[in-house]
Amino acid sequence: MKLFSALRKYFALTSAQRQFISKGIWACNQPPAAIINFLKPLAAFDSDLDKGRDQLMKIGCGGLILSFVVAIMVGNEVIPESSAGIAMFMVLTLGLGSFIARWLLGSMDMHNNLRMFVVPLLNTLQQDMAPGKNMIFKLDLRGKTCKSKMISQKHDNPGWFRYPKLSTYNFKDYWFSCIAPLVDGSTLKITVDDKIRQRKKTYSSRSGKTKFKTKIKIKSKISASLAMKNKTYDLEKTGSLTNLCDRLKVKDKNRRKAVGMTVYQISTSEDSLMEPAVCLNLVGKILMNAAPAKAKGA
Amino acid sequence: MENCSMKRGFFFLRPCDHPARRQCTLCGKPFCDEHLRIRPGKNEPACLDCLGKELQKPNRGSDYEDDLFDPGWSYGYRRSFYSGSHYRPWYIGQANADTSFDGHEVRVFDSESADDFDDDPNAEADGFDS
Repeated sequence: MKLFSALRKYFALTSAQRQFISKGIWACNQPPAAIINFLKPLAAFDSDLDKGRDQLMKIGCGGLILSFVVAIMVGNEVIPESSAGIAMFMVLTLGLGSFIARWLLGSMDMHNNLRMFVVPLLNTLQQDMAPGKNMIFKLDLRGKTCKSKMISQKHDNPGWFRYPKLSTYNFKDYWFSCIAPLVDGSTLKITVDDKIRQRKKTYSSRSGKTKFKTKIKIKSKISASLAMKNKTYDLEKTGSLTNLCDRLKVKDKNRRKAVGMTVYQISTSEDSLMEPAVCLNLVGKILMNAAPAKAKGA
Repeated sequence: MENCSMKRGFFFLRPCDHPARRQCTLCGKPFCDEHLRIRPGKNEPACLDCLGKELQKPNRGSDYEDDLFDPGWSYGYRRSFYSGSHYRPWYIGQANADTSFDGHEVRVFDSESADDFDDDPNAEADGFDS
């Protein structure tokens, strides 16, 4: 059963890793291998926990169905009255206990972006990092709609028992960023920022019932920038990148040219997943556009 | 002793300079310990490239999710990335006539510009907005 595997993995975590599960935020300046070693056990635990919680849901539903079956059997005197109480208690404990355990374990559940986006992306970037250099890394998985991330709110309330009432909350979630020196001397920066608009509507239906509806819209801004050495790369044709992204930023300095590409993604669920390929494609496009610098005197 | 046959990297390929220890049972090439793993379910060593190819197979079902945090994943993924995005990786190292990666064309730096890779101690702070 995956739940036991998840618990085993949880007890094998270090105190810092357990602290990340409870706090959801972590920043560091460490070699990529150390960052991956920190996050991988968390990703493995989260994977097992998700599967374990799914199993608990099934067990809970099974327990409740079984309690109906036991109730019918008791009614039909298939089960003797003396053991009916024990049987009912056991199946109800199984059903309700599973639901309660599932709910309690929910507080340990991390966003799936950790294992579906962050770890695979770092795994890939690690391959190209300059040996012995550190990565500046920040991850915030506290949730997209936690109070500290709220930037504004607006309430449209027509008064007591008058509908519709509409509340709009705006959040900004800078949840992922990493800066990594690469093996070619370039510096790579990847950031993912979300702008979230949450609308809560209370209205009365035609039949007179009061209904509640919550809608969420997330606009993710995915940026990849490369500060590349003028000695190494010829970056004369960066203009052709304009059509390959939503926003292109080029910054010229004496020794380096920084090329930043940004794309936007819209989603309607807090659980929507980011693909590592989105960031890797942006980096790939910048690097495909670069030509080797001409040799001195050529 | 022969060197490891693995080409490290994703965007920048370069030869692995570690000495080879054992042969991959799938491709037969020699690899160092870092680039060899025991194949799941079989007690045989396989290189990360070959394991990565297996991880990329579409019919792996629910196991696929757990593979995302396996080091072999990025080795397998780079192939589909090069094909899908038409990316031609840079090659850092001694280039010769058959410098290519598994049928993918690579780009090679001038030896002069390749020498300049490590001359900037403040690389991290340079170039981006503060």
